[in-house]
Amino acid sequence: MATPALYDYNFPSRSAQELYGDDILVNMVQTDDMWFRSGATVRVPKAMTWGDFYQTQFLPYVSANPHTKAGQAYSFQLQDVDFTAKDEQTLDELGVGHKHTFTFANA
Amino acid sequence: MTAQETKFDRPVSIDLQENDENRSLVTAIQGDNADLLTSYTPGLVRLQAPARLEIKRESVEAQLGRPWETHEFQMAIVSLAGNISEWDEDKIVISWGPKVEDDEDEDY
Amino acid sequence: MTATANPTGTPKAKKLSMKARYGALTRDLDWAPGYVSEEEMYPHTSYEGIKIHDWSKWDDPFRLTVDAYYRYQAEKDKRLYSVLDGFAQSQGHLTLSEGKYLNAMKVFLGGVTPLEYAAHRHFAYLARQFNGPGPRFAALCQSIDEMRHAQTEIHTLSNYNKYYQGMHNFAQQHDRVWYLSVTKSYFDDALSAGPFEFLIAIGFSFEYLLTNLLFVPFMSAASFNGDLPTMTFGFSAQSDESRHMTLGLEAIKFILEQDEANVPIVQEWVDKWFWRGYRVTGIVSQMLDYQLPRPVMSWKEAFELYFEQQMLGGLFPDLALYGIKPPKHVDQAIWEKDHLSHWLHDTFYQFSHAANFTTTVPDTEHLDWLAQAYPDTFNQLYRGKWEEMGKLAEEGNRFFYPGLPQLCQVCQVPMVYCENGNPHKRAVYHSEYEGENYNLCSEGCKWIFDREPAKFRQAWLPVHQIYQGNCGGPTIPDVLEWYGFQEGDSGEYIGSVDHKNWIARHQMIEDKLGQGAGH
Repeated sequence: MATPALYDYNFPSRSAQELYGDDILVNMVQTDDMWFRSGATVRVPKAMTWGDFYQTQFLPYVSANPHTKAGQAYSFQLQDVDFTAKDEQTLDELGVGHKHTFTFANA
Repeated sequence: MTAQETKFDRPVSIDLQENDENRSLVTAIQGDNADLLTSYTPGLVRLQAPARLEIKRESVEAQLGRPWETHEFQMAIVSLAGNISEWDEDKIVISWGPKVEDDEDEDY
Repeated sequence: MTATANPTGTPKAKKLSMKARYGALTRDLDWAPGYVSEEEMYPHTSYEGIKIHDWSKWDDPFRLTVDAYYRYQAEKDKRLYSVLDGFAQSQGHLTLSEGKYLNAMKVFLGGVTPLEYAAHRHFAYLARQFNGPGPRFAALCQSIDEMRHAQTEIHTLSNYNKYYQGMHNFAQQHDRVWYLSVTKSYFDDALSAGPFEFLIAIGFSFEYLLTNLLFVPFMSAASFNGDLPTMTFGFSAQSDESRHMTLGLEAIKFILEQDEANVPIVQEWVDKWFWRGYRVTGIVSQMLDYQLPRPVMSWKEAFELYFEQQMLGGLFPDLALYGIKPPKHVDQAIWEKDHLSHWLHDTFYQFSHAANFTTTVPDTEHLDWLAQAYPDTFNQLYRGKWEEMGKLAEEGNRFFYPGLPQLCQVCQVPMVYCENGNPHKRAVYHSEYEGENYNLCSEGCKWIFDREPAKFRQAWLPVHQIYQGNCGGPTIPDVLEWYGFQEGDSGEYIGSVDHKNWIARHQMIEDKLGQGAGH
């Protein structure tokens, strides 16, 4: 429904992608372990490759969980849909959008 | 510390500060309401009654040994469950159920 | 009040009844506008779709008049301030149950006190905008009450601010700190709604449905933890609260009785504002269960008594007469009562390096109390993690969360919740509006977002703002400086400035006692 108002009610999002230049926000949520009480949000370039994202964003995060074993493989979903990627593909090419959420679990 | 489980379906209740003055008030309310359940948590006393609870000025004054205005009840109360269905110079009634029209003239 | 002389010697007029006095001193002071239309004089009471046919049907059971109001409020303040003085003069802060108790008050001061002030402002607005003198006068009294609450809370806690960290900058922090945006955005949502929605949001859904959960067990806990000033301001504020609850209840009944077309509008507001308020009171759940060294009543128990028994059992059957059903998503709140505080204090623990309070793993006695208060869930689901975090801390690896949390677009709480009925499944909901994706923590918040996406897309989400560079700089230390934090405000309690001071002050007392005994 429209928000009731005495005037034309139209204000922009305060989190719109344009406010981040060439970057986007991406969320990561571990689903099979409750050590991290909350999911995390990171800011990354749209043109970042999956390999870079995995090494510079994902691994440092998940490694902070003391339950994490070295060399563990993970399965991912992006916005509730199964997700696989090659290291050289960029987030943009992979359809990772602004404020999208990766959920992941031990493979 | 556990709050007492109520035995009533739709209890009304008042939570009062537990202090010296309010002890007389509690005694008066206990005298005027059968089936009252009294329970305590630190600093507080809770009175629960089935569906209706009445506070009478006369009884409170008899306990306090001095005149008491029903407005003074505001100094004692911390919380309530129920409608305030009557509040005049002689009594305060807290109840659930449909609104009772009071009998005073409706000029005001 | 002194009796006035009667110089003319004429017989005194018969004293008016309470009802007649109320009528003479409130409603009889109202007038119908002659130079402008009613619509011009009260322009804000029609655009929400609520239809009012007869404003005189508003009933104020308290029958309060200005003279009685000020007389009793003055007496309340007098009692409070004598307690504050006595406590400060007698070094009362040394008699608290433990220094870490004050973490609960730091959350209260930054999270709740500024809302009292916001409520003061908005009830003043209602006191101007409502067409009827009954609701205008009730709103005026509440506006003044809320100002009194803000002032007395600040005054009460200012004594602790002399000795403890984390309270020195609460007003600025309310506008900036990530978790305080939960309470701030909740109230901003209400302030930016129309006058009737505000009345249902704050007057009814907060004051009537939920405020007991916030104040009553909490103030009882203050009493139990040696915090006499907080107990006194709490009870002093609550004595007004019973009037506010009554206003909230009268408001909803009045609106429902005025026109059947109001019922579906009110139902949606009840649905929305129950869930908004419930998410905010989650902060209280972790105060009750974790932040009180001597707990009084668990969240589960408080929820059962003050919400399930008194509201669902007592109030809603009355509202059913008007066609109002219990709030949407209430079943999830009922299920969450066994889990909520454990999730949220875990969150506070993991993020306390970025907060104005400290946390620590509860000791064994406290864990046992939680196990007894939550026989179906605590040992089964939550105790192991606390013990694990405790072990890490003992080994010198106190755990803090390694990054910034994902936030819910509506309640702004980090995404810490589980799906209704399944404590093993994390909840992550999405909605899209005009091509942009939004993340929501629950069906309740998603329903609220989808109902008014144009409103909620404007949310100032702390994490998103930090990443835009609007919060002092790109690194966490930059942000904490922008929050106005100082050494000792944040992090682990054991070994903190407050903890060290607590030990030092009590050793000093023991030394003095020791000297006295040994002479």
